This record gives sequence, structure tokens and C-alpha cells, in this order.
Amino acid sequence: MHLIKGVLFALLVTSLSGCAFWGTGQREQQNGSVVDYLYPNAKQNTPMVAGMTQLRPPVRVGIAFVPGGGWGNGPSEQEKMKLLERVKASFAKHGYIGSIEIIPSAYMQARGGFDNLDQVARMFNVEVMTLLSYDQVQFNDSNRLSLLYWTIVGAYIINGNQYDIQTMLDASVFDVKSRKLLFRAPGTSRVSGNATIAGLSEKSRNARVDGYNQAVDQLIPNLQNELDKFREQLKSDRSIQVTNKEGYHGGGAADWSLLGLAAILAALFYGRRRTS
Amino acid sequence: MAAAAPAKWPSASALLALVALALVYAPSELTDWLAYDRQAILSGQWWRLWSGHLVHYSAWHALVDATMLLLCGYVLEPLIGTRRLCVALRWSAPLIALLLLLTVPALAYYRGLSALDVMMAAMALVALWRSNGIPRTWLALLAALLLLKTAGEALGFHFGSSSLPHGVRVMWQAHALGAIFGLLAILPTRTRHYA
Repeated sequence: MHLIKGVLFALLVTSLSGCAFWGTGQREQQNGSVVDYLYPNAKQNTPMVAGMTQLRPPVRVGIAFVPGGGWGNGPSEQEKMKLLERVKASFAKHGYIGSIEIIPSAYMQARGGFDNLDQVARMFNVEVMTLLSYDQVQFNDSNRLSLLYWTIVGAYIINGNQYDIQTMLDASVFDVKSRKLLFRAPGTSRVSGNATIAGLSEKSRNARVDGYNQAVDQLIPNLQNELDKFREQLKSDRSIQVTNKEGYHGGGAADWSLLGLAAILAALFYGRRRTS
Repeated sequence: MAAAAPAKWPSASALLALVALALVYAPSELTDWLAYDRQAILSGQWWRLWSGHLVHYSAWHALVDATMLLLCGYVLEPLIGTRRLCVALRWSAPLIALLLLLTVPALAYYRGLSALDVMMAAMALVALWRSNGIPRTWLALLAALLLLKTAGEALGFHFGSSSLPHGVRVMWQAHALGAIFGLLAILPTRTRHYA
């Protein structure tokens, strides 16, 4: 009799502790891969555009998130815009970068390939595209405290669930015309926390946003480093040619010949003034 | 036009050169605000037509331009007077920039005194020619050199190391306009005779 009572009690506790108890070790993933976007058909070789990569500062740059697999994949459009604004601000301080356009996700077609990239570049009049790919994995586990969920009240006050969110962002900078990857920079983050089963959804959603923000925090200095390295690389890399746009920065500058001419004039005048 | 009172020292040129040199050490926000910026001028920031000549890309750029301005001013101011030089500069500076705006639409940014340098050099050559103080053969030779240099720059030749930083083009159009405005400014002006 005691054994039956014990089994029934155990069943009751187990059922009241909720689905979280049974659903331990959940894994959710959001990703938008630059490889999937640019090379959607792996069996088909995307032809490289032959010839030299030409950069003509001030370069017009576009920044966009790589489209994810489906609706709701990745950060919300509002969050994406905020993140892209931060990346844009890090680019904006360089004199050789002209305009920077943020490309909304609606213009980026999933698995669109270089054809879509060309279309977007033409539409927004940009020469270089920075594609932000992302991969965010969330692990949800329940800890020992989740046993107290059976009290029902515990589901609202006991942090019996824990989440661990790992985010990887990668900025790949492509020259649109030659389809060449100029440089890339990564940013990663890891956000962990505990939540009640009732608050898990909201708390983990906020943590996912934090994950993206922290990854961008790490990405920006990396991007600056890569940009500096790329500038150095330009001096030796013969496959990339940098030519200024016509009359982009002009200067009225006297040189030695003009200075010499003025000096001769002044000397002649000085001699004449002394003798007169 | 009546002959101008001769100036003993090139005070206007010295002041202009000093301002140009001082602006090298001004905050970049200020120099950006003063530089020739095509879009900004088109949106109504007309002061840039004057002030664009006073700001430079580097200290070396400003030093070379200011030195030439002083040398030309040393010759010109005693011959035509400070007031006439100021009048000529006041009108020529914005007109040169305005013509650059109209004729070189691809020029987005411009800085430098050299258009005014060339203008003053052309004025000094004509003023010296009129003053009969210096053999005209010399002056003709110097004028030919100035003309050849500007024509050469237009064809893509460079005759001396430029003081401009890498990636910034010498605007030969500004020099050509400077020479033209120099001639236009000096022709109605009487000059002092030294002979």
C-alpha cells in the first residue's frame, strides 16, 4: 500500500513539475550563413570575375545582415538596424569611406547568391558590401531547483531553468564587382543566466539580444584591426588597385618650381629696390 | 584708376599667410567647416568660397603655400598698395572657387592658397613689367615658365614635388584661374614706377 502511495506521489510531483522538467537539454539555433547566401548551390561553381580588384575611395559601403533560413530567424529587424548602426559608426570615421548604406533585410533574398548582392549594390549604389553572418545557439537546461515547480508557485519564483547563449557574428567585406572577399572580422559572446519557468521565454529573449550586442562589441575593434591590416596589405597586394575618384580631393599646392619662381621675382625686386 | 600708395611691408600678405599657418593647428571640425566642400557650398554654405583657400591638408602644404604668398606679396604690395591687393583678393578668391564649382563638378573637396599664390605671381609679373625696373626679358621668361608649368600640370606633368598628401590631386584648374584673375585684377590697376 505504501509502495503504491509512493509511486502515485512521485507521478503527481513529476506531472506538476511541468514540461520543463521533461524538456531538459533543449537546444535552439538561429543562423544566417554567408556561405549559404552567396553560394546556395554548392555543386555549381560561382565564377570568379577575372581581373584586378579596383577600389576607388571614397568607397561607398553597404552593410547588411545575411538573410536567415526563415521568418523570425535571427534578431528582429529593429535589433538588426540598431546593430548595423553601430557597425556603421565604426566605419564612418575613415576618410576613404564615402557613404555607408544600411540595407534592410527585406532587400536581401535568402540564398540569393551574388546575383542578389549585385542587385542590392546597384539599388543602393554601393561598391563594397559588408555582410554580417550570425550563428546563435541557446541551450536550455533545468537545474535541481526545478523540482520545486511542482508547487506551482515555484514556477513563478524559483529560478529552476538556466540558459546558455553562444553567439558568433562575422563581418565579411566583399568587393561587389570582383566578388572578392577583402577581409573579415569575427565577434563572439556568451551569455548565461537563470530564470523561472514562467519568465524563461522573456529573459532568454533579452539575453539573446544581449548576446548580439556583446558580439558586436567584440566585432567592432576586430573590424578596425582588420581594416588597418587591409590598408597595409594594399601596399603589397598587387591584385588590388586603389585609384582615387576623379578630383575627389583637390588641393591648391605650390611646389618647388612655383616657389623658385616667386623667389626669383622677390630677388629681382629686392635688387631693384636697393639700387633705386 | 589712381596709383596706389606704396606699402613698405607686405602686411596683407603676411596676415593672410599667418592665418593660413594658424589654421593648420585649428581643430579639424573648424577646418572642415571652412574647407571647400562642394555639397556644403551647394547647400548654402557660401563662406567656403572664401575660406577654402585658407585651410590646408598639412602643415607642410600650408608652409609652402604661405611662403610663396609672402614672396609674391613682398613684390606686389609695394607696387600696387595693400588696399588694392585686398580688393583683388576679396573678389577673386570666391570667383575662383565658384568657377571650380561650375567647371569641375567631380571636385568634392579643395584646400589651399596656391590659386591666390599664382594670381599674385601673375599680378607681380605684370606690375614689375610696368614698373620698368627689371629687364623685361627676365620677366617674359618667368611668365613663360608660369604658363608652361600650368599647361604641363593640365597635361599631367609635375615639375616639382607636391606638398599635397598622398591621394590629393593638384588642381591645375585653380592655378589657371588664379593666373587669369591675376591678369584681370592688375590690368585696370596703376603701379608704382621704379625706373
